[in-house]
Amino acid sequence: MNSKETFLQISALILFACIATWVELQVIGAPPEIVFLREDKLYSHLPAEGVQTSGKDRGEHGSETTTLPTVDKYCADNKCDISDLLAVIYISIGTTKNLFESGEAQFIDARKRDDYVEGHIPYAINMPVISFSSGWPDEIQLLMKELRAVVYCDGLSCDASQLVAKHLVRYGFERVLIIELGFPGWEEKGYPIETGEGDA
Amino acid sequence: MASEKNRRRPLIHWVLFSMRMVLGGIFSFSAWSKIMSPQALADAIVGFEIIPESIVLESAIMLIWLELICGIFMILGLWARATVIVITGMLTLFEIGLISVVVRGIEVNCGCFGQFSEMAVGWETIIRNMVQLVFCASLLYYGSWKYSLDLIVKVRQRIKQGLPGWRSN
Repeated sequence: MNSKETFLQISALILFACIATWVELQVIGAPPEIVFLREDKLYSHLPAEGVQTSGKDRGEHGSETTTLPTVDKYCADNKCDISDLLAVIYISIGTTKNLFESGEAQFIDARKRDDYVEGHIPYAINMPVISFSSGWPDEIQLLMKELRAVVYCDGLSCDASQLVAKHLVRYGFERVLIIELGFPGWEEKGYPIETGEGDA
Repeated sequence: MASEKNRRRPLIHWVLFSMRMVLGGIFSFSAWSKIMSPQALADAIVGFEIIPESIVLESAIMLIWLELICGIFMILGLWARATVIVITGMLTLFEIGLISVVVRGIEVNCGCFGQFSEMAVGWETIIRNMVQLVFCASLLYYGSWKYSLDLIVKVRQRIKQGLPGWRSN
């Protein structure tokens, strides 16, 4: 078999795959966009419109903070209502504490199991990103869709909370929150911490 | 030269045929396990932190279809040489991605077999891929395509042209 024939066959194989991909994308359509925003009063010294670059600003305590637009700003710019969006909102430690005390939220720890066992927010369920690789993890049955889902990992340097939040939105949670400063922020404030395997 | 040696060692035909079936089976099964939920593979690819997120879903779907087409063609022995080359290319890219993830210490599932893959990427995954690459290299080197559609088509073409059958090739 000559090289030219082989080359044409390779091209044909790749072309078939491209055509099949195009057809499937037309059939399934684009997945709904999940928007990441921050709560309005989060680090109010930052401009509401956010910053155009992908860099991070320094917050009050020298910690990094997100430059995502606020909910109000985004909805005003896009003439939409928050209830129409698939949105994940970054919240402050203060808001987190309020939700924890009110019992209106369930906490999801997106870090690795070892980090979770060393210390986590009380009653938090451990669901690292890898647990979603083979479909929905068993722990997701422990969550109630009526309660807000608050996800955290190690703060802004960690992407795990974003990935887990996306999975929860796709699972059907209407409002998923992410603790912006993560577990380090909670721990720094001296708030209650639980160690060990927890309930999950 | 390789085909001359092959004629004197019929056992190698069966070994290479088995390798072809194994590779075709692995790729077909891998594609089948992911075809209904490409988003899951896309999420796994995001975890590798190699491909930009904006094209991850398209890349995942393209990969699944390429795996399926190559897997089926490999089993049938259709365009066998070209299919092995494409599979070799895919395995090489996978290997680079896997090694990169292990070296960077990222904990992620490879997503190779969809809902059936529960293991995090590690050296076992890398070695498994290496074995498949060895299969591909063997198939390309020996060029034996016993019980393949390619061979049947070639023989029929030769008969039509009035040339002797495959034993005289």
